Amino acid sequence: MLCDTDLTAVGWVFMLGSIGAVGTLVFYCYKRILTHPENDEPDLPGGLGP
Amino acid sequence: MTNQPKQQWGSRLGVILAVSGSAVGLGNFLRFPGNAAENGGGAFMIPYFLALLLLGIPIGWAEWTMGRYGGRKGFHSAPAILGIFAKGAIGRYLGVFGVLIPLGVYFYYVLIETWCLYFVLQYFSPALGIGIDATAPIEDQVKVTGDFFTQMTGAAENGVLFGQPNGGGVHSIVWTFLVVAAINIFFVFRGLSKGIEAVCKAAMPIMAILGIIILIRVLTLGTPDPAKPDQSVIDGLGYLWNPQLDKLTDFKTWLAASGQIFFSLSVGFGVIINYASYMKKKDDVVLSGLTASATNEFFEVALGGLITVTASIVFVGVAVTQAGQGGTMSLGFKTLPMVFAQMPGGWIFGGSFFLILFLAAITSSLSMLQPTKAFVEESLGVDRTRSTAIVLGWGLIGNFFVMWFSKDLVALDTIDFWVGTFFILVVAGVQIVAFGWVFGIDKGLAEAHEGSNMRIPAVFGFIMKYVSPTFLLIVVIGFCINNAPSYVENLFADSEAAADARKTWVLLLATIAALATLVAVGAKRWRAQGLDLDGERGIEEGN
Repeated sequence: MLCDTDLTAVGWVFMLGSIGAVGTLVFYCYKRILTHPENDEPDLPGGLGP
Repeated sequence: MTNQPKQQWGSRLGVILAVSGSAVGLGNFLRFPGNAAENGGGAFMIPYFLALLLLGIPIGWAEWTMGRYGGRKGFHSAPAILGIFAKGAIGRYLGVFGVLIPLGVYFYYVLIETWCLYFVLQYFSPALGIGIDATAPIEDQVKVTGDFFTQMTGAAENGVLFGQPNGGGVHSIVWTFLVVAAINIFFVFRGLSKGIEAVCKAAMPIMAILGIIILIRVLTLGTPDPAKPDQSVIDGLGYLWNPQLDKLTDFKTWLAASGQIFFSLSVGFGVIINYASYMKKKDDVVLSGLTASATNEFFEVALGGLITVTASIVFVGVAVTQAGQGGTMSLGFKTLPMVFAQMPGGWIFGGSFFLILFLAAITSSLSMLQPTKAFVEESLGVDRTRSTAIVLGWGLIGNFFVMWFSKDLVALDTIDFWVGTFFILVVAGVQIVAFGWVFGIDKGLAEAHEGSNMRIPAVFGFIMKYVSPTFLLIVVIGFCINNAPSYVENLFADSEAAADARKTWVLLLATIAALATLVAVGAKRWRAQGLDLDGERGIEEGN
């Protein structure tokens, strides 16, 4: 089904590019999450709640 | 509503990990690599990332926003919240599918979760074991794992799990199931913060650490058998990642990539909308939604994309891997046990791998019970104990149905196709149309930006209003053309399997009818309480 199973140069590019993309996104997101203070205001009257 | 104290998440990280835990499941480790290898290898990632940008992340943002908004109006279930966004009863009744999906998928998913724990026990208990002889010819090993799977799932005959041949009594998988079901119900009963959030906060890091340890082990395998130089780590990676660019002209590749993104992220599942409804007004949903998606993608691409198929190629070669990669079950429960049998220290890595799958599954199954529990509470006005009891009973009926009608896994497959696949597309479509067109995209984005730590790029307004619904429509049409005819045909065939599929539909229709009745009962209560169930008033005008 696949023409070649030895990892080619283009295969390396696709693999490292994909993993790099998701790795960078995860790093960016968690860095922002951890550097932004969490909202600790009490909830405003709004929903009646369960 | 009831007079219980309002439930909330303990922390922002907690809700992110809970949503990520819901999304990360068996599909990340088993379905993704098989799907990618079959559909262009590295080239698969082009439509995959496009679908993530145009479908997964935008619809996810809409769902997070809708959930938080609904929560502020006192609602926590998909029917009630879609009633607000679609402004009336049609949205409310379509929202029934937003409860049917998690409940229906729970009917069979907890059984797959049980298989994972069962495998963990086989690996870590000296008295047990799958019985694979790693020195035997590969055909014999295939037979051993196939037979083990058939016995464990009861795929040979209906009811066989409850009465083994030769007077063997109840199969031990049933007792394992009861333990798994008890764990699920215990944590759901403990509530959001002490139950689901606590489990996900512990399970997600454990999964990541175990996953990285196994990944390092797999990537350092080299060429274990010098007599088979084409079974090396580099060959395994090449098998999955070498791009077949000609596959990009095949519509099925795009469909497979979109489907993978869609089902992996849990959008349209009825879970995010429920989880987000417990957030505070000023809690961020934009960065949280993106982070949950990113976490899921990390598990899928960086761990799922490197571990399973690579290890499979190294130890059992291309032919056996190709035979197993067509289905999540086959790769996970038939091919990989052979791989671990041949791996030095395979019982540790096999046990750890199935422990990851079990943790991934339990964080997902917990998320399937919570939306139903919330819906029962707010539609009937019952307390947490009663709602948990109702959900427990409802879940057990479905679980035992699927366990009893186990022959060829027809009941499981029928629910998985219609509820776990088709209806998800329907709910996601309803959500994005209600958000972008009925509620209004400008109003929706303004609501999303309340308290957000990052802004949604302006182009996503256009994407959410026009591109995502169109993309989704194409996926639905393509999906129906490719898959639905055979399922419909099989449903009306004159065979035992068709009869089992029809019985499964009776269960599903009864569940839909019960949920629709709860919507009617709930709507009457909500109206009497003066709640804004048709979304006629803004937040500032009160409930």
